[in-house]
Amino acid sequence: MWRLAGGVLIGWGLGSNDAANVFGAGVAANVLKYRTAIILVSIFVIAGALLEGHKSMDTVGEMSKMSHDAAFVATFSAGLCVSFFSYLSLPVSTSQAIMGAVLGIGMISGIPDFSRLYKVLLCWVFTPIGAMIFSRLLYPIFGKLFGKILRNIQMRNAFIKSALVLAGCYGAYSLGANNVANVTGVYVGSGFLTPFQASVFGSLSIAFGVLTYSKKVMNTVGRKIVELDGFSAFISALSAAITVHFFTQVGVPVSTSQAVVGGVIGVGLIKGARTVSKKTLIEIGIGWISTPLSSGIIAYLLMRIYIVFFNAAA
Amino acid sequence: MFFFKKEKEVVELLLKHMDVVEECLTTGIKTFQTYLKGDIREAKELAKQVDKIESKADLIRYEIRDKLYAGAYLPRLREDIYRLVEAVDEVANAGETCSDFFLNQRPVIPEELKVMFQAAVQESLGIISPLKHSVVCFLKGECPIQVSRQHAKEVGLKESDVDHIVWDLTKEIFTSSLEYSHKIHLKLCLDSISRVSDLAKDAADQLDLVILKSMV
Repeated sequence: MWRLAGGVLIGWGLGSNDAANVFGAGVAANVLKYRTAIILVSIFVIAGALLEGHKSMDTVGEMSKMSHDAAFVATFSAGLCVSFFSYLSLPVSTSQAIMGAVLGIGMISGIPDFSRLYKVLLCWVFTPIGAMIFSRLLYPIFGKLFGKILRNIQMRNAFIKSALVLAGCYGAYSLGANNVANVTGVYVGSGFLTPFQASVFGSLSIAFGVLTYSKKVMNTVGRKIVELDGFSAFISALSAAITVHFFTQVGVPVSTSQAVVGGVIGVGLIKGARTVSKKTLIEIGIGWISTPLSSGIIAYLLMRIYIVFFNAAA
Repeated sequence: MFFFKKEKEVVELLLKHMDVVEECLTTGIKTFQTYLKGDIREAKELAKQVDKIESKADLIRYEIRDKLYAGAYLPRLREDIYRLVEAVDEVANAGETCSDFFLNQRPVIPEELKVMFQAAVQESLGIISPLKHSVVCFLKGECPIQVSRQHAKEVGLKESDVDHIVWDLTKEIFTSSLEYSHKIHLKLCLDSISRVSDLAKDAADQLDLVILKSMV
C-alpha cells in the first residue's frame, strides 16, 4: 500500500497546480468563490477520471511494464520533479514528468519502449497548437452569436460569467479524464491496480491537491488570465478543455497549462495582440526537454539506489 | 436572471442615477431662466433644489460603487462602468457649480447678451438629453449597439455647438464697452456654463469605451 505514496505525491502536486488552469480566471474575476471552485473542480475531476480516465491509462500503463517497486519510484521521482520545479516557480507538466520517469526506469530494466513515445511527443507539441487552432475557430463563431443574441450589457455579462463556470467544469472534467493516467497509470502497467481502482485512487489524489493547496497558484494564474477580457478568457478556457479532451480520446496525457497558453495565444492572434510573452513560449519549449529529462534522471538514480538497498527489480 | 441579481440592481441604479442627473441639469436651466427674469428669490429656491438633487446623485453613485465592488460584473467591465458613473456624476457637479455661480456671484448680464447667454445655457446643460439617450439605450439594450454609439457621437457634436456659441459670446463680451472687470466676470460665468458640455462629452467618450469593450 505504501507504494501508492508516489501516486499521492504526484496527484497532490497535479491538483494543487492545475486547478488554476480551469477555474483561475473565474475565481480572480469573482465569478465564483474559491471554495465553490475547488468543490466543482474536485467533482468534475473525479467524474472525468472515472468515466474516461482509462483511455489515457492504457498508453501510460503499456509504456510502463515494470515492477510494483519501480512504479513507486517512477511516481515518486515525477512527484519530486514536479514539486522542485513548482518550488522554483517554473512551469512544469506532470505528463512530461511521469513519461521521463518511466523512460528513466526503462533504461535500467533494458531498452525503454520508445515505440509509443513518438505519439506522446507529437501530442505534447500539438497541445498548445491544438488549443490555439480551437480558439481561432471558436472565437468568431461565439463572437457572432454573442453580438447578435445578447444585446444588453447585463445579458452579455451573465453569459460570460455562466460560460466561464461551464468552461471551468468542462476543463476540470477533461483534466480528470486526461491526467489521472499521470498519477496512477504506472500502477496499472505494473499490475498493482486495475484501471478502475487507478482512476478512483488517482482522481481522489488530484482532488486532495485541489482541496488543500490550490489557492496560491489559482490566484497567481487566475490574475494573469483575467487580464484578458471575459469573452477571451472563456474562449481560451474552452479551447484548452476541448484540446485536452481530444487528446484523452487519442489516449495521451498532455499538459493543461500548455493547452491554456495555446488558447490564450489563439485569442491574441485574432485580436492582433500579443497575449503571451516570448519568455512563456521559450519556457514551454525548454519544458518539453528539461522536465522529462530531469524526471528521468531522478527516477534512474533513485531506482539504482533502491535496487542496491532493497534488492528490488526494475 | 436570479443568479445575476447584483448586475440587475446596478443597471437599475445606473438608470436612476441618469434620471437624477438629468433632473439636476433641467432644474439648473430653470434656475438660470428665473435668474434672468430677475426673480432672485425663486432662482435661489431652484438653486437649492439643484444642490439637493446633486447630493442625491452622489448617494446613488456610492450605492452603485458598493454594489459593483461587491462583485457585480467582471472586473474589467466593473472599472469601466464605475468610471462612466463618475463621469456622468461630474456633469451633475458642473451643473450645480454653474447654478451656484449665478446665485452666489450674481453676474450682471447686459440686456443685449441675454439671448446668447440663454442659448449657451440651454445648449450646454441641455446636452444631458443625448447623453441620457445613449446611456439608457446601451444599458437597456433596446437599440442596436451602433445606435448607442451614434447617440454618444451626437453629444460630441452638441458640445461643438456650445463651443461656437461660447466663442461668439466671448467675442461679443470683449468687444463691448463694458468695464474690464465686468467682462472677466462674464467670461468666468461663461466658462462655468461651457464646462457642463465639456464634461458631458468626456462622459460620452467613456460610454463609447464601455460599449467598445463590451463588444467582441
